[in-house]
Amino acid sequence: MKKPSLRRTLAERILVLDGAMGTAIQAKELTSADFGGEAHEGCNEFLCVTRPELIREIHESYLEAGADIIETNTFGGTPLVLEEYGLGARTREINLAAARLAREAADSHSTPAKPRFVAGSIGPTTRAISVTGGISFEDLASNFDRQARALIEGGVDYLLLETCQDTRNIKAALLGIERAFAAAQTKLPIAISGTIEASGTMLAGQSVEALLASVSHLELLYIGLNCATGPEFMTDHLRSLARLSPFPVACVPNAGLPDEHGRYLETPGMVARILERFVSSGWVNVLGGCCGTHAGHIRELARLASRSRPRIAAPPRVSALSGIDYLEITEEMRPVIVGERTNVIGSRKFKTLVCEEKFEEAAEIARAQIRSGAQIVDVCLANPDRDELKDMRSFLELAARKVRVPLMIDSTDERVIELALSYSQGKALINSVNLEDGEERFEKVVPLARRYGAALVVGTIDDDPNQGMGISRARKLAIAERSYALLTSKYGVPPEDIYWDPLVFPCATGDAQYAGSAVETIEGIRLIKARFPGTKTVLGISNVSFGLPPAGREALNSVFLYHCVQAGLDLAIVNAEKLERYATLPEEERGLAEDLLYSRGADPVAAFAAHFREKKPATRAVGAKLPLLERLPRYIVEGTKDGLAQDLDEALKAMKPLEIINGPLMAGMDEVGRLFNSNQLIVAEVLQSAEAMKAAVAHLEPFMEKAQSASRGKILLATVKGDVHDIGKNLVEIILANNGFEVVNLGIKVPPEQLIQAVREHRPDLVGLSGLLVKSAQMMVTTAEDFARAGVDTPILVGGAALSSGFVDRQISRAYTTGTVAYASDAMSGLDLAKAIVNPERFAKLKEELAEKRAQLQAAGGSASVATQEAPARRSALIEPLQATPEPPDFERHVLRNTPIERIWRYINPLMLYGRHLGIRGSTVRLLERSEPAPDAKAQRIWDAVQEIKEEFKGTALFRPSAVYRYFRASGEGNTLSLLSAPGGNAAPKALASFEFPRQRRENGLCLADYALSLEEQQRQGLVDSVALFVVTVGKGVRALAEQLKDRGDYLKSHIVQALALESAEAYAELLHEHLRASWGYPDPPELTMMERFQARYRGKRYSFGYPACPRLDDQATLWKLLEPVEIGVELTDGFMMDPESSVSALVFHHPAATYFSVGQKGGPDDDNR
Amino acid sequence: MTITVERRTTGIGSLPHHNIDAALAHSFRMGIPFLPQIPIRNPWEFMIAQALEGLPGLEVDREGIASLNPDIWASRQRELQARLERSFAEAPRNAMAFADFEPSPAISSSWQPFLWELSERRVPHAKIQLAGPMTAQWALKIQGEAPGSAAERLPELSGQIYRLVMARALAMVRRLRQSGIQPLVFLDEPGLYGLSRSNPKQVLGLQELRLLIQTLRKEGARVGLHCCSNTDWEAVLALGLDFLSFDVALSLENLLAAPEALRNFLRAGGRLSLGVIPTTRSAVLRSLNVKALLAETLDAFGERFGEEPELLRRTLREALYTPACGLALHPVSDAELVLEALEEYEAFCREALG
Repeated sequence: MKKPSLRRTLAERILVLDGAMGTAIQAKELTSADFGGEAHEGCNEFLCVTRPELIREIHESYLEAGADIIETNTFGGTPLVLEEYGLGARTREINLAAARLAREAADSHSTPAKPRFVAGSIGPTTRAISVTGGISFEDLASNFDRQARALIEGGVDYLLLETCQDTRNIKAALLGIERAFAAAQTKLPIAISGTIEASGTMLAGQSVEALLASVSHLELLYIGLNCATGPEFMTDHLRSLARLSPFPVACVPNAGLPDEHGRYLETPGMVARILERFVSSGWVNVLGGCCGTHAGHIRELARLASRSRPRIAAPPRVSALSGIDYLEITEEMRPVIVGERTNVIGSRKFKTLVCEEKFEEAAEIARAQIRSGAQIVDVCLANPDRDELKDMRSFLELAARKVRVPLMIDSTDERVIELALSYSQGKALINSVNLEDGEERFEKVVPLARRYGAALVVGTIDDDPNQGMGISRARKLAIAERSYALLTSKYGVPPEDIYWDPLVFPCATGDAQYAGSAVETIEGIRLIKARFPGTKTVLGISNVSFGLPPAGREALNSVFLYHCVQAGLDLAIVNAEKLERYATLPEEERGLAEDLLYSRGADPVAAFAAHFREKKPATRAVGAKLPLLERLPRYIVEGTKDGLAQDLDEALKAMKPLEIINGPLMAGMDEVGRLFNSNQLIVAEVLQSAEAMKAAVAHLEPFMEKAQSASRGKILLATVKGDVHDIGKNLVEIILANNGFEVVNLGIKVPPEQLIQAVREHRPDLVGLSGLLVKSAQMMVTTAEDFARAGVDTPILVGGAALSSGFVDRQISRAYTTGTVAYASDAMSGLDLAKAIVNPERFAKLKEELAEKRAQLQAAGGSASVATQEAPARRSALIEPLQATPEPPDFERHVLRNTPIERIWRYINPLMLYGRHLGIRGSTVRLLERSEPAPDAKAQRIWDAVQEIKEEFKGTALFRPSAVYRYFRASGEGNTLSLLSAPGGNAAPKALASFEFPRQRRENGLCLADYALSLEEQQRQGLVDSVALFVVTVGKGVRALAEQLKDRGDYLKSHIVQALALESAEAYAELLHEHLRASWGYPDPPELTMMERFQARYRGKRYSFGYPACPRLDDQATLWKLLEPVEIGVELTDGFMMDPESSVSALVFHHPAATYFSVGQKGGPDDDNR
Repeated sequence: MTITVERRTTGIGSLPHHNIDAALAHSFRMGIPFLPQIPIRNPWEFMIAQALEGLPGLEVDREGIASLNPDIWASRQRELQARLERSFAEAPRNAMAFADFEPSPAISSSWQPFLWELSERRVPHAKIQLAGPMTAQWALKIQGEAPGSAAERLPELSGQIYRLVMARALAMVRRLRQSGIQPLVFLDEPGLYGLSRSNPKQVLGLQELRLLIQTLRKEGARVGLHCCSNTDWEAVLALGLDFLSFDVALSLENLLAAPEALRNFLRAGGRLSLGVIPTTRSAVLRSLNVKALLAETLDAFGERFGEEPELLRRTLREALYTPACGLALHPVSDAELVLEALEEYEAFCREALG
């Protein structure tokens, strides 16, 4: 039977891979005997030898479920992994057995209409070379070589590098496989499947785009994603892959994430529903299942595949590079900056560090360049006095982990280039090749670029015996044409991987051959770009200013760069830390630089050099002497204190202090105001004037007469119990004390018993009570009652923002049956009243007046109460009762502790974190989100700081998330939402708790209870309605850390840590809410973007207590009883706030009409502006 | 000065929410959004601490009472002084001169979010509020001593407080202006409760306040003063304010007792910010008769300005309407009720005034 080719079948339809092998084996509950003894227990691969029928059975189950491809049971089949069970020596035997088992099973199910294929599974081993180290690149390659040989021998159809977490491992595997193919004298297709962690990248840091760029030089069977998370989380990555990949695309997710009991939560239906969105979006060619999936999942996927069409690849051709990060060289981002300081030829500092073997510090230079804006880092260690190969190894060993951007490997030694390429996870740029020695260098270096996946810098130099270097624009183009023809046709280099270097020469050294060379370079760029539009250009900018004074070099470099970019330059090798912005250069300097570059004028070099040797300073002046009464205001106007005290003493001989203040000094202040208004003074000067005025008043104060020497009387002052506001009371104290009263200030929150005791102790003439709060007014009534009960009759003065004379007359005075209460509307009236109270005649009169007023009030009938205007508790007609309700998977309480923080961070709304909290403009946040450089350095700095903090704290207790959630059967009656016992049996549902929600006070006003069906409706329709409650938390200890950071003066970091914790909690709420929707059976549509998710454009809504639709914060207590979030470390404070603060609690409704609203009269849907 | 907004409602400042989002949502439901202060999150968001952050040795207890450790202040106050002087010196040519004095998230969790929301929503006006220098000086105490003791004991302190408050206000105003937003700065001065024009220090304080108002106005802000107690209204009305904010139930009568000063203030373009909704108990709020409240206010104004219907009409049409006081110490549900009543009041008012 002739089987159709795999590639052709893949082009025709969506193929289905099998499901999990590991969890299927686990489910068999095997013993050590099954594994051939305790030493081998857990080595699933060895089961191919010890229990082949069992593995065959699993293969059969998947084939029967409809899988087109089954994988060999060889995920851990490298000698490295097998040796952990002492089986390294049996690598060939195990892999061969596995391949044959799968082959036999596949062949037995294969038909012409549905051929079955075998993928030789190659896992990532137990080492990620960029992350864990512990193995050399060469050893790793040799491991893969041994495994691949056996799989090829066993008859697999292709080799599948799966669960790839580190592209350096992939590169090692590819090298090993290349050797295995050579040994077997055959070549099989290769597929790569990466694993994107919750962080949004592979374990070693690469994004899916960076991975694709790193392997796009190969002819892959397909590229895909597997493992790590559930399918939902793959959405964005898969979308990117589908957009960019020239190869077919595979999606092989887990059945969601396991809960704390290790149960994978997504059913076949849930997984298929999500994958259906991917398929219908045209993103997928291969479907399959990873951890937690079983034959049931594969059956669903096979059904889905059979009714769907495969993705048709039409990716754009892009010039892309990658390090850990992906970099697409686009027209909009020109010029991409290549940092030039990690170059022993160009940087003395770097050279010294390398010579001293301080590689850690040398690697920091690379990081510093990136911080300053470098998007690629040029690395050159070609010091003729040292071993370049050794230095490159030592440097990259450290730098490869620190540097995320693509590398430009700058060497003439192909051994060094190959070594450096083996250290790069991504697609590097080799600097450079040329035709100086004919094709020799192409022959040595270009194959390396093809093997490891690298782009090439091609210098416009050839083997012309007269002038190898292309100086004129025409020569540059001619050399480029010759090189292009060779590279693209003979060596198979795609045009987008060619980066021309049209060469830069010093323009001011006086060397005749380089006269006018700058403009030739500029025009050379233009010509080459026009001739080969699919290629890119690169230049080492600073060569142009070689030999000029240092002050002018940066200006000249900047102007030269500007003109090169205008001509089409894509990449600029510059010192990113010193790059001047062209726009900020003075016009004159730009002109001088342009004269030099374009050889204009008699001696542009001399003019340029002279300009940059000039500098300038600045100065200021003072005022004069006048007669005394004119001098005094002048002190104030001029804001000077020199001589002020003497002149004030002089003035005191003829004037009283207050006359001096209100006379010449105030005149001075008035003049200050006038001058300030007419813009003749600036704020700083006005402040100096105010200081001078203050000094004058301070000097005059001791000469002022005291109001009275003997005490007028004694007053006790207190802010009543429960109130901490004492400003008013303290001012009264100042006023009274300044007016001869002896004041005993009892402070704040003074309870009646303490006041009574103080009255007995101090025997005051009057008591002053103050309070700001409404409840303080009530407390004054209570205090007055207690005074009366205790027999105190001392007159009371009351005052404070919450009091009115009416309240005092009606309430407090009635309570104080034993004494007099008077209301002081402000401190001055308080002083008047105090004076009256200590004067027997005036006091008698005051009492009379008060009594008369209060009697009139009583006659008038006191206060009238107005009827309440509560809205009727009737369901809003705007919310239609549902005819069908979604079914939650269970009504159990779930605790999640293993959600990866990186996954949560993907759900952070960047506009909230970077915008709202950290102050970056929305448009800038969007640029940064797209990995584009920020238009201002501050935004970039903040962005980078957040990333650093994430790195620093991820995995620590600080960002260890946990959650608790539960679905509840629910019913809505009037304004009450009742949470009921789980359905089941014949017993009537029992009420577990209920919430009373306010209703909008208008016709058809909304109330949250409307979003659940009444019990009667549920019973009538045979439905069960439900809601969910959850609490998520992230930042245990954030506040303490933030305080520490603040104390250390690290304000930005302190702020970022707090903001990140808060937004992480919000993000977790978003993520969990998404999970709840999916579990309810209505996952978000695939086209729903994160931004739309942040705008809550999905079915149902979540509500947190304290928000406008459910403003009662004390409902938190009910939620706490139901969910017991204490188990995940979230406490409820007295004020119903959550501790840690970075926690979110919510009540979730699924009703499609659920919306955010305010219970206010004007409020309507979306009124609270979320 | 014209403020063109659909609804002339705004808040006083403090809110009871525990969540920035919720507080901002509340604020942005006002005609003129205001910077929420949410001290339930953090006592440093109480007004004195918020105004004085950066003062060396400043401490704040759980209730928001600010005190100063004089030793720490003495040892480090020169640094602050130098920073202030540098900022004021650079102010004319450097738009960012006061950037260091913007409220940090430690004292205003809402400031950055507020700015961001304003800019994203392209809101033309925004209200911010800050404790005024007189209240800040009179409230700050040395621990264990009486309020005001800090400025009494440390002669250089009051000048520094004044500069600090001014720098913070300028920082906030500039930041808003840079975002294309017209700032309304309200200086919160409950301390004017004890104002006496025979006290030279207070006369001086008024002068300083006048200069601060002048400075903020020159920076393009509209400046208001909120005093939630009665005071020497004549003196306050003469400060050159754009807005005078007060609790109508508590102070309208007293304010109207200075009709000439009020008339001059209004004729010079001054506006009132009327704290019309009592910040009282939930039960009272639920049974509030907003129409009756409005009628009372109109009657009170009518008694004094009945013969000048145009001035009265303009005054009330151009006034802002606010709760009587901050809402931090109330439940969130009361804040909703207050907002509801405020909107109702403003709508009735518009209807009544045409």
